Amino acid sequence: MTEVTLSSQWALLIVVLFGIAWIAFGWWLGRNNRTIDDFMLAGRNVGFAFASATAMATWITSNTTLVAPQLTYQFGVWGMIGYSLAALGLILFAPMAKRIKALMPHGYTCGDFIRKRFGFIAWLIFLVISLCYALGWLVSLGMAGGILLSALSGLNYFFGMSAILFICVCYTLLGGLKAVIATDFVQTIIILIGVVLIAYIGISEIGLETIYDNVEEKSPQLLNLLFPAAIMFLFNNIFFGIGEIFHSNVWWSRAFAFKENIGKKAFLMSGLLWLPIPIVTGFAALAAFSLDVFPPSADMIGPLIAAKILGKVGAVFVFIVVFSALASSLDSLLAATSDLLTKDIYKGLINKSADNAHLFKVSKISIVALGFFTWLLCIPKVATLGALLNFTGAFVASTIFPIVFGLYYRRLDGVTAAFAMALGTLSGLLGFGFIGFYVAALFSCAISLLVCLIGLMIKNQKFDWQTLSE
Amino acid sequence: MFMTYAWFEFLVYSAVSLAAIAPIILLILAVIDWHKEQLW
Repeated sequence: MTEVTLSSQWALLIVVLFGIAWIAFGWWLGRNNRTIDDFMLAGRNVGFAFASATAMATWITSNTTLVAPQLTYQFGVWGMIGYSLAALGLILFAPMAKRIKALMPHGYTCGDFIRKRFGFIAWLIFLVISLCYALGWLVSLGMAGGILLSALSGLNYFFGMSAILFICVCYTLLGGLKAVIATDFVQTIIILIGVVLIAYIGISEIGLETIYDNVEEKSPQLLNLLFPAAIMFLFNNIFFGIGEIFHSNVWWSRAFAFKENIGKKAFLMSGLLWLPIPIVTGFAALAAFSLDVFPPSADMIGPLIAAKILGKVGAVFVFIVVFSALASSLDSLLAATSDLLTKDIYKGLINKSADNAHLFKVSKISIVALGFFTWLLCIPKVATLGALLNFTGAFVASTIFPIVFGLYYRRLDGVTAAFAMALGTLSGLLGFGFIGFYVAALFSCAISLLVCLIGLMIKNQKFDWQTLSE
Repeated sequence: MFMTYAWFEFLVYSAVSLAAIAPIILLILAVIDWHKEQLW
């Protein structure tokens, strides 16, 4: 089914209006940015409300609005429950955010930490992992923009993908992290009101019992609590989510940007508020069996179901919600990855004597370059959203234990951390290739933990924490 | 072992209720921060 419920004129109008609004807002917020701390870290002074909303909005993304329904459609109830447990990443990161701010009050990126704590080789491996993940996520977000437009309107994939990237690059460039965080707050409110209304109307129109009865009759394995692939997915997704958050500069930059003593409670609050969202967006996919909706590809199930339930007005609404969800993550990722490119790649490898004024300019150039590179990679639309995202699970899960042990134990040394990340990633990729995407993060995390434990047993480094604050 | 309707209903309704109060909490927090001049 490729039913188009929103005219191309309406879709274009929404994209243009929202685009102008976000870009103008970004310019207004960024007009007083004078230093690199203002641009990259919003002056390191973000309050509790904005901190909670930005952490939550960044984690509500194409994954939550498009992939959660897709996984529910494929794995049933474990699909949506497994996805909601990705909130554990935010909750467990809460105490780490406090520790990060205390250890590195003047830090900029997670790369700063890895370089000072583990040395050059581990830092290089970490950068490869982090940049692969960031690109994978950026491409999945760009692709989601294109898929959304093609699923909900007459506009084509190429236009949707290009429009969302262009808008996010513009306002991130004009406003820096301050624009990213403030737009995240507005986008969070839009998204939350939207998903709750869509779920409420879906339940009222079809009825929860009808949805359940039709799934039980037509595809009962989706209600099977012992569905093996789904259980593997659940555990895989927990480690994937934790790995994504623990290693990514998107979250580290927020830990640096939030006010003193705000990080811990903000991440805790955002995790608790995020927890129900994948269930709210995911359960609607089970209505496919009541509505006889059969999507051409699984990642289009969410928008198609919502459009079918709500009609033309609903399609407009769904469009705005998913568009906000995509923008709220894409802007954060653009800002955080450009920080990595500026501080770690440019300052760390290319021009070590660059001052902050020069880095301010490089940071802006990085945002544009990153946006353009993502756009190029999005053009072929090579994988489904879920497959692309889960591929990166093999990379990120290998960083969980090196980072946790690195933050809390002096004993873990750089060689062990480097081996843990490299061997973990390799085993995750083997699992991905020979078994399936739902074990990639599990394998990666388990091998990395094993290497860390061996390293902790045979080495006895006494790292000086003071080194991190210099 | 299959999820019963009662558990399915509990799961969906609790998730929707929690999601419904989330924007209210965030808006209240923002008003408090704004009142204390601690938004940024």
